Amino acid sequence: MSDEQPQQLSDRDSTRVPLTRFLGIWSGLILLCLFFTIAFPGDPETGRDGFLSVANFTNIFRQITIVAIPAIGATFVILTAGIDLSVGSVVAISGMIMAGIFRDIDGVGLMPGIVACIVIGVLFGLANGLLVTIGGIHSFVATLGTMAIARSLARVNNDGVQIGNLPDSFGFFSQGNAPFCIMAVLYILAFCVLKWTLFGRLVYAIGSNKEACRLAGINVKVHETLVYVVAGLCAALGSIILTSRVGSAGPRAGAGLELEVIAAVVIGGTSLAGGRGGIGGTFCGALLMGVLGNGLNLLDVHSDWKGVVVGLIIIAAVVIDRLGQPGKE
Amino acid sequence: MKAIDKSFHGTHALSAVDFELLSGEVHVLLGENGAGKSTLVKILAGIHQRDGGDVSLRGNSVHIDSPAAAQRQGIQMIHQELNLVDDLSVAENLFIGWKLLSRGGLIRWRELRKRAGELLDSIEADIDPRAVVGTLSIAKRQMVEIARSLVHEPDILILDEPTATLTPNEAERLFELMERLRSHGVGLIFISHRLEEIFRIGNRVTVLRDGEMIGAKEIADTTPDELVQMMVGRQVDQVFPKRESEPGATILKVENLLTGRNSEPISFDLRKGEILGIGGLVGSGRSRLIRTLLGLDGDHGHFDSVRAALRNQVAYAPEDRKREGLILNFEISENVSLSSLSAVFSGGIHRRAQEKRMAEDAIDKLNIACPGPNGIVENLSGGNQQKVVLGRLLAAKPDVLLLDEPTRGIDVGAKFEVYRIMSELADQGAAIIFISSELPELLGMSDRILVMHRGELAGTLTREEASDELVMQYATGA
Repeated sequence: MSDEQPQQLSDRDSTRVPLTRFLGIWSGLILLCLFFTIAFPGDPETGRDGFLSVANFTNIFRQITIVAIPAIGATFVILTAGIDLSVGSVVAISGMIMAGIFRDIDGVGLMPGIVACIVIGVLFGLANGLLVTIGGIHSFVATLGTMAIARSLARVNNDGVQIGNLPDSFGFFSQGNAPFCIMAVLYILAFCVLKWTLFGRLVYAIGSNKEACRLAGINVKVHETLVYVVAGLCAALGSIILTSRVGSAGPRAGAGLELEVIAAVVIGGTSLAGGRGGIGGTFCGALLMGVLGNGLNLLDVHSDWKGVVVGLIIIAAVVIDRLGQPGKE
Repeated sequence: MKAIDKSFHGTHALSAVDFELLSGEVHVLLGENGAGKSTLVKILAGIHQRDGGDVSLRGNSVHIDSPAAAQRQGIQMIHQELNLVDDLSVAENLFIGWKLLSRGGLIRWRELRKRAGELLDSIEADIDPRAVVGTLSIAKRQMVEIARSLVHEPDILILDEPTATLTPNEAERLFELMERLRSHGVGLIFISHRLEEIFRIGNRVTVLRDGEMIGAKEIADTTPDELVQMMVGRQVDQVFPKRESEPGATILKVENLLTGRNSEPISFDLRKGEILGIGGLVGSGRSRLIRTLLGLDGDHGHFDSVRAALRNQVAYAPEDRKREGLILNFEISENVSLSSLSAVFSGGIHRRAQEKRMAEDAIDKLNIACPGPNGIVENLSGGNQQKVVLGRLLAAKPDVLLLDEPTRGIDVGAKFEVYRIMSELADQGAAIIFISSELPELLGMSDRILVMHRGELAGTLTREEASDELVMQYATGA
């Protein structure tokens, strides 16, 4: 029974994290880095950093945190065969509430604002979760609704004017290695949860066959709701870093973020049908998009073209997936 | 078909199998699960490609490389897993792919419905062509599937376990239909495990075992025992392993359960060590009874939910094991532990060793044929998949087991193993309620039988008083 270890392992991995896909995206990433390295070498004479330099990569890692952190929550949601379109809007409203507290309440430090930001994210996540589980509304529709509501609230708040003049100490979240470290910790945490905890197992189970879970006595409603709460939380955490970077919180923050987030998750190999994929892939997806943006920037390509390339990669990633599964419809 | 070879990922599914079909005959394909029956017919139906050997139709060698090509050759197949679109109506499903278009390019709905109605009438299926397929019971959906294949007026019709979800009456109607087709010169390939059926409808039988052809015989020249021996390769005792039981105290008392708005309340007892069979025609409310008990259907269940039932040590195995009973892309161990996850994740961390042990226990006790506890459930045969479901139930250490068609679609060997397990559990004091459409099994395994008819409890029979006729009498409301 236990003498077939190697085969068994690949069997197991292939249903959760498709091995071919996993290797595929990481190789794609490496190829892309290679390309940019060649296209943009450093120039020791002028002291200009090339693509493949500590400075540039630090930059990339810092940039991707805005997409990568909410993408953690999105991974959980998409693993359960759901989707969360409200990410960007929640970033905006939670950021504005936080900035409002910074502005209006003195002498309490950063904590109240940060806590408020997280609470807002969690509340929207809870709303999404309850709409889906108890309301029986498809996640696309439910999160579309909360997306509209959150964005509207962000505009109503402060009459749609940005809130700037944030405390200097708040800059901590966008300077130095702080963003990267926060992202790394969250990713490691998420990875462990998905791989080794009950919640993680249930996320995959519910995404694979919700009805079977229900009939096996699993409390699907609670865990499915929790997944959206996680997504809301991650959106709030992303908002903290974004607001810190930009130096202000405005109603247009995070516009279009949900699509970048979902792109990172999908490129990373997590299936929209649920049950397959993982955190590692999402990180690679986010990194890939970051490298792409960075490289195009270095090559003086207008950032608007990034969308075209990302779109092509998403399509290519899914097509390659299909080709790698002969005989499967 | 001569000397057919077929391998999947290095496993020989078929080796040097010969099979011959005459027009105007019903040729039965018999064998245990994994014997290769489905694979063989799927080659004929163009779903798989053979690795070696020859296929010839009417003396001409053919190469059928797709289902469409097979259809063009006049070959139609009725699959075990139904190929219907749940969201469309019966009429639409029947004529999927056909263009009944008016001059303006619009679908001629009235004609579509009329033809659908005629087709359904020709096989005496009491189904409204406008009904949405997803709302029909499995048995009715199967009738639609059969009707659909007849649309193409095939020369060869392959039926893969068509009677699995049909009652004896409905199966008889199917056989009459098959007789009619046979007399028109159609060649029918009939895959079934049910020996009574094989002797009722078959002209010849080919037995496969482990991918090899054991032999082909005229039905008139053979006996059930001989066939079973060919299938299994050893003597099989056809007696049901059910001992005389001394049921203990009442463990479950169901009072005034309402399964539907207009039905009479149902009450019954269940005692420790007792096996209670639930019989009745398809659509009579057997599954609904159990589902209402579990709070899945109806307004007031006996339990609020499956979770609540599990807390009371009552475990449930649903009728549709692939869609409702298992997570197909999960491993065996992950399926077995699915109803006992708190034990396997105690303290918040995954106890891998414990989960593995739980799975190995199940594999051992239930004799599950698999590459190990890490095997993916999707790759197992139907019988072994059902055993995984039972493994999940057993891991939760239930006092009461609710089994909905536990032996449906699994081969003789595995069936008897399930019976053995049921007996053992009852011996150990567990109580079992099981739904079955197979009379021999119902009569052989039950201490008492509840017979449902049109959503109501038509009668209760003890083991001594029960007989085929009595059960059918109650079931048909006679």
